[in-house]
Amino acid sequence: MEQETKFELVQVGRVVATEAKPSTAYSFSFWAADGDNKVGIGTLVVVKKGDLEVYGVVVEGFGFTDLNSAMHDYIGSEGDPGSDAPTLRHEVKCYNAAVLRVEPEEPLQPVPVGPVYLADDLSVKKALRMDAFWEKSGIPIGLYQNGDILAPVYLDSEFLLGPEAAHLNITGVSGLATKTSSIEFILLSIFERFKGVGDDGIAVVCFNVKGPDMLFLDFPGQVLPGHKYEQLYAENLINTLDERDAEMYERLGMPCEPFKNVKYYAPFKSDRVNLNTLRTHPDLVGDVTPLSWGLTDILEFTEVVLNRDDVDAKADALISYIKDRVVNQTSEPNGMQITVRNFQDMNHWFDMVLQEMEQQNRSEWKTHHYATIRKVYNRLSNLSTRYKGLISPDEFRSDLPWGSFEDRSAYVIDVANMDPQAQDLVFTRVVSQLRQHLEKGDLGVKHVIVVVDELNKYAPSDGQDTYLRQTLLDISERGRYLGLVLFSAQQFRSQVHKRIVGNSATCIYGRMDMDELATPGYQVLTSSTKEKLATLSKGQLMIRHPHFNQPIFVKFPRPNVLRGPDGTRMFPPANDLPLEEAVYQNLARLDKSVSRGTIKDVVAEVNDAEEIVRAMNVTLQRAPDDPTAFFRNSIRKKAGIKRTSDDMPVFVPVIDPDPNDPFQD
Amino acid sequence: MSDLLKKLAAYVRSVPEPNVHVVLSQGVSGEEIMMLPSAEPKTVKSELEGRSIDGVSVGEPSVGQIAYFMDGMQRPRGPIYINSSVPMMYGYTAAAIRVRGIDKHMRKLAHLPREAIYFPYELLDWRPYHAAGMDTVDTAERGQKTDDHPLMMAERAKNKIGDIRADLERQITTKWLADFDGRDEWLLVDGSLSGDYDRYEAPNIVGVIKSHQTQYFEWEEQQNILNLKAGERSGVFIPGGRNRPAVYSWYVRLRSNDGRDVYFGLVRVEAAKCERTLDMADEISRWILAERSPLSMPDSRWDRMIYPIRDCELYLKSLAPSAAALDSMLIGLAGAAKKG
Repeated sequence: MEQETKFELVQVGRVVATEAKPSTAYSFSFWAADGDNKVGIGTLVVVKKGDLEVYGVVVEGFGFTDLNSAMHDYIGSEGDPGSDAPTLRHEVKCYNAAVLRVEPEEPLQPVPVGPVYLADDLSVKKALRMDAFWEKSGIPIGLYQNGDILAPVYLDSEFLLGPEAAHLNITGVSGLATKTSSIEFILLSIFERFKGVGDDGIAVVCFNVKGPDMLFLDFPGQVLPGHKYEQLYAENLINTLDERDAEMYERLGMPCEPFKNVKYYAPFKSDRVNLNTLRTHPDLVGDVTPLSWGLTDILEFTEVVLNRDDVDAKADALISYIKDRVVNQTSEPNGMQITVRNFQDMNHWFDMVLQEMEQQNRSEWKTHHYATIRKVYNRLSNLSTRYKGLISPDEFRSDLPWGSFEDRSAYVIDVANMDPQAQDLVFTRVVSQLRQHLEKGDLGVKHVIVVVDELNKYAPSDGQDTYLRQTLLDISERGRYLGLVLFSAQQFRSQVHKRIVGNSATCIYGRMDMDELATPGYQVLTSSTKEKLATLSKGQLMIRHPHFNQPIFVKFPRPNVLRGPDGTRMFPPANDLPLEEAVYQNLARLDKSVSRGTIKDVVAEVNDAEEIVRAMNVTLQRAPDDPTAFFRNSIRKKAGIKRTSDDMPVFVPVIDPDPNDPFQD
Repeated sequence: MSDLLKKLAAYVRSVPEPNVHVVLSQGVSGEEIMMLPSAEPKTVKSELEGRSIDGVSVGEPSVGQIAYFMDGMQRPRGPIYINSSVPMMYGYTAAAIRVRGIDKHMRKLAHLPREAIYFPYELLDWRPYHAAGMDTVDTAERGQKTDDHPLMMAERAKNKIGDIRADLERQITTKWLADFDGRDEWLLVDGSLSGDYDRYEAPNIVGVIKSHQTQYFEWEEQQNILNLKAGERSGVFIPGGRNRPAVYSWYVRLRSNDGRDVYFGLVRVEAAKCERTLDMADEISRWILAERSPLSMPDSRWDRMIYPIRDCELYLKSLAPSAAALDSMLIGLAGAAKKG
């Protein structure tokens, strides 16, 4: 746990109340001592008078002299700014403070005139009401710093992760390492300190939405002598932490370590052998699990993957029929027994249905019109092409470990290089699965944090509604009851859907753009607080949390995590591999004795890329003792099968065309 | 807040069937000592420097040895009538010396306050007030019969308050002269020289008088003084008509009075009556000229008031019970009488 440090209270000023500017129960003013250099915007102070203690945070500052007009100074200096007057005017620094807490709380009265002290360690805890929760449910968020005082600041996990309140939103301009770094630090902090109730476990699902941001969470920002990559770190001059960070970790009582258990997921590229991620360096790609979903996985989400205009009532009815009566069941269209388990099976089933209709010269099949069947066939069969790399046409499936999520684990899903529709599908399905498993209590953990950056893009306040935005709204509005928590980030909070940021009980602000600060959402902040926000340095944040009556400024140490750009510099992504080499390398991961020559020969012999890929993925999924033999056998089983559809006529005249079919021409 | 008025309220409550009447002062005029100009010239001796009173340039302003500044204040309130038609005045008086450090900031060296009730002992028994822990001052002039008109009594009390303020200034200056004798630093006092400066051969003390109630010269010579240009001083003379030891004095024009009143920027300087003063009149004038900056705005007398003296005034006022607080407590006296 953190190191307790006690300081003597240092008086820095005295409360001043005038008729023009009186003290109230919620605010007061004080002037600061001559030569004071400890009080500033965001400083926590204590007023003590008798048994009364008033805790406040400085929100505005003024400095003035007895001059009424600049003209008087000009005249007195004879117009010479360099003139040296024998006496200096009195200059007073006055500060406005907002009351954070009053002890005792009743009766609530205006702040009395009395001495003002800098808050020490204990006072910081009291001021932010952390004394009630920091041991039980405190999550270190950073350090409040004022001169020599370095006091830990905690968030209450019951208000960060539920059940009282939940969600966290971070705003800040790009390029200052605030958003990603702070999220990483908070996650590390949660993993270190979250207690929960009983055997509550917690995991994180991070959607990596841009570049290599979250692709090296398991690598440290700096390595100790003797580390496997010590030389590589030195060559790339990577050492992101300094003594100041180490001191902050010590004060927070937290280990300075990267994430211990991280699992990476990425879809394939369209070739279905190379992963669509920047973590493809040969040393690292083995840790990346393909994200590949089959027919049964995505059939629940047809409204996401299909154009809304396509899924009319008729199409919806047919899709429901397929879901209920066809998938994973054996049916007998046109007298042929077919068990539909993947897209290839489904295509076969459609072919048989259409063949039956044509042979019997019927316009309807089980009340579904020929044109509707044709349209749904067209749309569904096209999915494995449209989402090539993510949706598998065959039986190969690779997914997150639903049901066996591990406590304190991070699951990073790289969607950075996917098109928006595919991202829609990934977000929607993953969150839907999380929700379903959390509802049933069989996910493996009781709490899941979903991390999404770039909310300006994914959940804008205006623009077209998307499933992704609906998904994020759903988490923010209903997630906390299930243990599903959203940690989101963006550059411009004002341009994010109000209900998402509004439902975030905890909000963090890094350096802000003045244009953004001029928007109505920041009206509650004083002009000085806004000025400070506009000039925050790296590692400084402003926090709003249900326990804090006013925004609080803290510093946080840099997470000991390798930054994305540094990671790609040290571990540059590999070029896309040719099919035979990719197959060899993938199978060699199962068994190092696999022969490159043998694999190359098999690939050349079959000369069917799709079948090769399917066989490779099936082999990888099964992980047999002899990968080469299994791979070869898998090909033999499928190769040479004559597809019924190959003989099918391309065009079939429709006897009774569906008037609503937009594709009938 | 005034401790004395609290004690007075407690005293009123202890009096059987008290009858209290309080007259609140209008404005703060009682804090400024106003005297009518005297038409009679008061010069005792001039041409001390072997020349006429005509103006002469003193040279470029230069910061000199003046490091200490003294001023006083008075805050009269009343009259108050307690079971009698004899008016009592409340008076807060104080004097302070502020020191200018090498960092050019002003700080306190000494502060001497006094709170008292002023009334003629001959007509009102002072003992119950002393018994109640209050400081009182007899307003009667020694050897003179007390006026039997309440307004005259009140006026005399006000004058007495001014005397007490002058006495505090004298005390604090006397102590400074004793403590700082033989050192290089000088004390500048607001107004005429006070203290026992006459006991020293060449005391480092200078007074700056902003008001010109007394005319020291015949009209022809006075015109020369009024025609002084900025940065010029008059010849040294010995002013008459004072009940204190003689001093050397001269006029200095701090600021140009083009387009302004003839007295604009004009101050009279007093220094000890000694040979060194004659030698240093130009230098002392240059020191005072250097004090023109910073400007004493927003004080209405900014043309003649140097900033450190304004600092002394602000300091004294910041420690004095405010006029509003005093009025409030005085009104409370009537309330205390009813409760009593």
